[in-house]
Amino acid sequence: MSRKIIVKQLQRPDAKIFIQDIDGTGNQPKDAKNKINSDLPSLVTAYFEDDPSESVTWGLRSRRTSHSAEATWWSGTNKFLAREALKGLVYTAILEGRKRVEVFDEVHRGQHSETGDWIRPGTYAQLSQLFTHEGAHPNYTSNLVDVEIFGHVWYFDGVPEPAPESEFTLYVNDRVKFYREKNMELYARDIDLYREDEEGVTFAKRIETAISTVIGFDQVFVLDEPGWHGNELKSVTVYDSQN
Amino acid sequence: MTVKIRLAQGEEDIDIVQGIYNSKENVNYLGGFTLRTSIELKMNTYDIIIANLDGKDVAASEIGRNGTQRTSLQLVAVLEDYRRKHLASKMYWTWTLITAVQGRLHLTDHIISNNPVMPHVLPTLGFKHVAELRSKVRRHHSMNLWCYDLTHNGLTTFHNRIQEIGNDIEFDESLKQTISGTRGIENLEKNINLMIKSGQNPDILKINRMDAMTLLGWNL
Repeated sequence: MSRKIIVKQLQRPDAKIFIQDIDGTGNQPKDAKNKINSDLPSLVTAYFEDDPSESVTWGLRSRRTSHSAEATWWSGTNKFLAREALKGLVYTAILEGRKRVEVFDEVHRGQHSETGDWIRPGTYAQLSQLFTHEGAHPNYTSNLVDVEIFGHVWYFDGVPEPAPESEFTLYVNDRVKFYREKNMELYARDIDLYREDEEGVTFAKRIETAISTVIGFDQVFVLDEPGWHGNELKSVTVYDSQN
Repeated sequence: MTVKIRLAQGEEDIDIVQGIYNSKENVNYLGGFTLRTSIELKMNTYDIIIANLDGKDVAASEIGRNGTQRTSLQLVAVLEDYRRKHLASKMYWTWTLITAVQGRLHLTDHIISNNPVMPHVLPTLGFKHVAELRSKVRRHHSMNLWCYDLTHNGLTTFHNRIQEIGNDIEFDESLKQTISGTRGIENLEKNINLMIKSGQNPDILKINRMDAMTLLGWNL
């Protein structure tokens, strides 16, 4: 029997567990703290129910556009868990009315503080399971690190189905509603997307269908959450105040 | 016929650039009306050039920068009556030479997939299509990422193309402002150190800079 996989958007106490060791060095607590304090529902973790110590966490950030979002790796290497965590990210993006999730994946994450070795989280293999490889850029980062570019567009790639052994818990709060409403208005105004496609369906309708599909999966539980998650707990820190 | 390329400067040039960007044949491809403020901001950082043909300002182009390594080509617009005269290529060549003098590693360009011209032009200049970001823009169109890698190509590929289409370009002295201070030798030194640190041979950057200075007609 397959081990049950729990996938969920992190709540604040969980986040302390699942993103504490971000890159194997524990040297990025500030980033993690900021992430938790600003847009926590966009961190998605998958772990085995019988052993939560093995987990994979990916995060979603929106940058300047609302219709697409960027995913970033936070921890974990297990491919099965990664595939389900990435599905959780795609579901989150769909619930927010987005049409694209992209990853600018660095081939390494800098050097280990003790060994000096390049940190290779194996994210290419994780992403290849669900995302389309869209290209690569040499010397992309300020440290001359190459990046591989991946994208998932549900309109073309389909809404991924949860694995039978997985159980997803996702939240719809004011953040999700804000982006969804903004995007729906954006699509409705767009001269191309507003038109019906060759099947006589508008893009706004396609979004609604995709959202219904996510909510309709037996293993996906979409819960309403009032307010903007975490606003009332801004002072909570991941590490001590020295970080 | 010699094309004169200069840096956009002063109130008058803002009007000229805005007139070119917002001409009816260009405004749609550039994503809508361009405000004076955005032109002024770009101009203040020496990021807009103007091409002059027969005493008339007929084309403009602007860039952005990503850190110290890359020049991001952003807008290029040519008045309709002056198209098919390789003016866009010659402005891109100007940016490439400036990028080389600044010691940068590459130039990038982002082209929406419905652009009818640039996907045909860029390969002839030595740009490589490195990625297609599907549905990246608001519509279903892809955003295509193109790259000219100065660490591998040097200036040769682009220079060969410029020789073919006519090297009749006069670079105005005002362009020298783009390589002052941190955008000149300091930038080069920073990138040399980065390349050494990452195990790459940085000599190509010095060669690019010398070649570009020669082609621009500037004294070393």
